[in-house]
Amino acid sequence: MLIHFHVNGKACAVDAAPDEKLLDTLREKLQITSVKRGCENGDCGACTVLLDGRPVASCIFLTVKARNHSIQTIEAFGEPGHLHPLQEKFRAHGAFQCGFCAPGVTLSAISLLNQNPTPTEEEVRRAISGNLCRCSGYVQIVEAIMDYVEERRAAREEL
Amino acid sequence: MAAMIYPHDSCGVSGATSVFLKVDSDGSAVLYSGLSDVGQGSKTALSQLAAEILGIPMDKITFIAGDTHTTPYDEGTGASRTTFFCGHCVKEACEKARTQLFEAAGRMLGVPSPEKFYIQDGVIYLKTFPECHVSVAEAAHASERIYGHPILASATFSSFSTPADPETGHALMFERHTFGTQIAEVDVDIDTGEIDVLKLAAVHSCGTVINPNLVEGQIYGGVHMGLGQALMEEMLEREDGSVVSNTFSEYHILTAADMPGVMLSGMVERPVEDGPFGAGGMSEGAPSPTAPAVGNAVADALGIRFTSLPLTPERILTALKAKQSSQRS
Repeated sequence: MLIHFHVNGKACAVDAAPDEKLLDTLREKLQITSVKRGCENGDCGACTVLLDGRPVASCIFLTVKARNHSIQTIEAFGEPGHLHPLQEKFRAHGAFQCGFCAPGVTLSAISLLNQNPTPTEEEVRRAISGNLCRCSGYVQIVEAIMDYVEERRAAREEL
Repeated sequence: MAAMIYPHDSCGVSGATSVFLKVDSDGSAVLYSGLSDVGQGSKTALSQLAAEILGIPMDKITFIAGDTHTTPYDEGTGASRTTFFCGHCVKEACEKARTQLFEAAGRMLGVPSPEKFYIQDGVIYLKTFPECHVSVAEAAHASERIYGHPILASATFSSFSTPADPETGHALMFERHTFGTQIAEVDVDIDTGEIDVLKLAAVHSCGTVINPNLVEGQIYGGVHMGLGQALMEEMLEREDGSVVSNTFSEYHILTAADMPGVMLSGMVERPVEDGPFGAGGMSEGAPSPTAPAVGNAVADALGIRFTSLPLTPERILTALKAKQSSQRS
């Protein structure tokens, strides 16, 4: 069936089977391969996308349920050469190693920061706890996010 | 607390590793190595080494790795050996290329003694008279296009390790050893059996640190694996050998919320003997003392010594119950 939705601000129409997962639609039909195929079980968070600004695991989310909704992948926020300031922080802190979890972690963090621009470290840890990382121990990831939060807070106070 | 010694930098007896290098006439360099960079940052760290020796910025260096169709052989990225072995090769190849650049600069400037030059920020200077200089690009261009000697170099480094002596069984199995100590502070809930690692400090002997960011990443990532072993990661099998814990719903790894609230790392820069600039391996040492440190902390808290991992709530409660009943009897 034909499903209409927005992907990264653009109107899209895809022909999707009733049991088709959003992960497959995004990767195979729209060629958005930053959405990673991880556990395909809703556990690891590598396939995270934002649905109306909230993180969902696209591997266990039916494409038909995305009808008339807005989907954002990491491309909505930053691309090589034009990184999101949070991505710049990740780079400066050496936050990611293999990078497989990076799009999902970044989207979970951005979603949190949109709802709460001044989260505590505890809230940051909880917000990205649906994104598993085998490389980093999350330490430099959390440091980078807190660095970004502090910088934004300082910038707002200057105004 | 737990301290450990970990052997690194070996892979069998041959352990041969090679690197190719070319410096192009625009002053950029390309390194070819069989190492595999899966995110640990070996390409970054070894490009830093090359930039240091060739006197050119990092962004002028391309590092081609992991494809043995185009790169020379490397025995493997394992045993924490890449920095030591590939680093040796990168250093030697870059030094050879630098000498060739000095020879070309010498011909251009009429000073036929390569040892009289030094290189800095992409420029080759005559030591005694720095006003006399040419850029790396000019020297590479002249060498390749005028003198007929493109700047090419290769280097090989082989293991020092020896086979076991049939009489004594003694062998030099590993090139070098790395050391580390970790201290864990834990809170054990005696009602639920849950362990909360409140603080963890990890200090590792890393040789000369080429890139602190990368070394910290290896320490933190290693501790994350070690804590997983200590607390929750367990491969459960049925009697027929099939695996029960075959998804992340059953095989648990620590999330960001599970990590210690306070996580400290420290690097002791004790130069590794014969390491490139004193650098050596450290990565696999990082997870090694974590579970012992947690186990020792739990033993200190409960007075119970555990001999199997992970320290799941079930194991903790069973041991507490056994202790209580033995105290009663």
